[in-house]
Amino acid sequence: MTRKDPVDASASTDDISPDGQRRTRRRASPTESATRPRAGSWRGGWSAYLFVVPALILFIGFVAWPVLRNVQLSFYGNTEIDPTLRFAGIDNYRWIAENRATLLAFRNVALFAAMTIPVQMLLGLTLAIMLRGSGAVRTVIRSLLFLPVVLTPVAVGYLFADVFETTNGLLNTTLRSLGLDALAHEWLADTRTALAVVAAVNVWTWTGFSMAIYHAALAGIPEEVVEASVVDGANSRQTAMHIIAPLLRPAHFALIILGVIGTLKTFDLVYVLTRGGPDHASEVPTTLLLRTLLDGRDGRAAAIGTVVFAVAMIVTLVQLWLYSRRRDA
Amino acid sequence: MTTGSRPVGLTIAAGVAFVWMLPLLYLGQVSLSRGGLDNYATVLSTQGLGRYVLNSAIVTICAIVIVVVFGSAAAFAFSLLRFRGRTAIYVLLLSGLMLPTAAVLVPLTQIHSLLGWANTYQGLFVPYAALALPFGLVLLKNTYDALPHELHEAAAVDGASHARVFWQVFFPLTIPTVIMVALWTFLSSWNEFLLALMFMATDDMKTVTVVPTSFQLQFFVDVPKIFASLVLIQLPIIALYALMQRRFERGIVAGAVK
Repeated sequence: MTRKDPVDASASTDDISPDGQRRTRRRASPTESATRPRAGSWRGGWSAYLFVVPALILFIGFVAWPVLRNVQLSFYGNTEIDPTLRFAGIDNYRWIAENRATLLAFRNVALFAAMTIPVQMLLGLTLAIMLRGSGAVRTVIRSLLFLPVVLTPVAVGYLFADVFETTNGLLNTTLRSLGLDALAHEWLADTRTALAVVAAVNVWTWTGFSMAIYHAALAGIPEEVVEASVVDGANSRQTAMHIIAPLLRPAHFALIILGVIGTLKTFDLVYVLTRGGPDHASEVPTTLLLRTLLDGRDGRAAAIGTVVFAVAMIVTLVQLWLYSRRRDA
Repeated sequence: MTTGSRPVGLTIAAGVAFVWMLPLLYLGQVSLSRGGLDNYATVLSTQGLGRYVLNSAIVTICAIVIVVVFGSAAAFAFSLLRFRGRTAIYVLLLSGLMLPTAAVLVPLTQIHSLLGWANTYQGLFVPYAALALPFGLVLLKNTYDALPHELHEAAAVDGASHARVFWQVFFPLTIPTVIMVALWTFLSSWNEFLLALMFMATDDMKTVTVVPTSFQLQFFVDVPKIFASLVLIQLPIIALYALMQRRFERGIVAGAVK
């Protein structure tokens, strides 16, 4: 059932869209209110819980409880010498607000988002437009561009660590062989370029993802919509501005939200490429959290984790709000 | 949109794709330099890369099985059965959709020292499954929602139990989604680094993502061997991607837009 209707599959949220089904039903009997299609579901009885409990226990034990525990721990303090956790009020948060490394980590993560998300979206959209449609060549090119998304970030990190290496790295060697010695640079060891290099590797990895999302969105725009507007006398720029751009809005939202969450999660690339250095120039919250934790400062590490969690929750709530608005519309 | 501009666009896109592939060509080329395929043989035989691949395979397969079984059962119930707290429990599980691992790392270390789970397989696959579960659940529930519910009523008339209806009637119909969820869980578990770095310290328990760090120390400047190991640890992903790249792409896109 995934093959029959690739256009619709990629356009809607699922290949067998519950939305589509609902719409058809509504059309079939206009008097029927938007009742849920599963009105005839079974009374589950007690045995229904047997289906839910395994997932629930796993989730509570290893996600929900740890999240709450982490918030609690963030109000406790300890050190490597004195590992006993003692209540410390907001000391850990004060540490975050006053410490250079933590401030840099949160500043860097914001910078990182600003450097990667717009670039990935713009490149992805451009590529999706250029590769619109089916056909073997286009499909192969799209698959190649998407490949970095599935690769192991740690391996990608080590590969690019070698590419950007100062003495024998591919980039500097190439620059020197082209007589561009002046451009050769200590890419990962310079505080001014370290974060940008990690961002560039991130763009290399995720551009294919943006392209795939936009490809799906473009495929979901019926050809008739475009044709109709052309028949109406709209030139191609007007078509792009007024017909296609609004239909791409859900894709933009999804990419921004996933981009922000993905940036918050950034760890592997930074750890492998720079360990957060030099001098915290590419430090992100997760690298700092790990180091703080390994230094025996559980409370401070938990506080960093809580801030990350709070930002992720806000983003998730924004997404849910947008999603429910879209459904109601 | 005009037909004339499209071959130009295609050519540019092909050029971009070529540039995009250059780092990977470089990876392959360097991994074969100074010793050719022997580099691969060395990292496999004498450095025990096989053991790390096995560790990753065990952890990944266990995570996939848990996510698919727990996720499918829960999705079936959320979609077809009515029970008290249904919506509340579903929303609770969904709240984990976007959770960064950093938000649970400190408590997980406490759980692990309490249960003695450091350097054990369950120490990784249980949190991997828990973190991947919400995403799998959403995809699966949407699939169950779209199935004809009359199937269930017909089975109910026959007096079949929930478990039989689930396993014999519905589960087989969700196989395409199950494959997507399995692929996604495979990727996130195989590629995971932070928890693996934290919890797998002994040599015999390390997973593939932790390997390059220790190999870098062993081979120091022998870049070809390190690159050979980078290729090898990604081989299962590349093989699966080559076989089912459409499913990969669609699974990830479907999950993203949700």
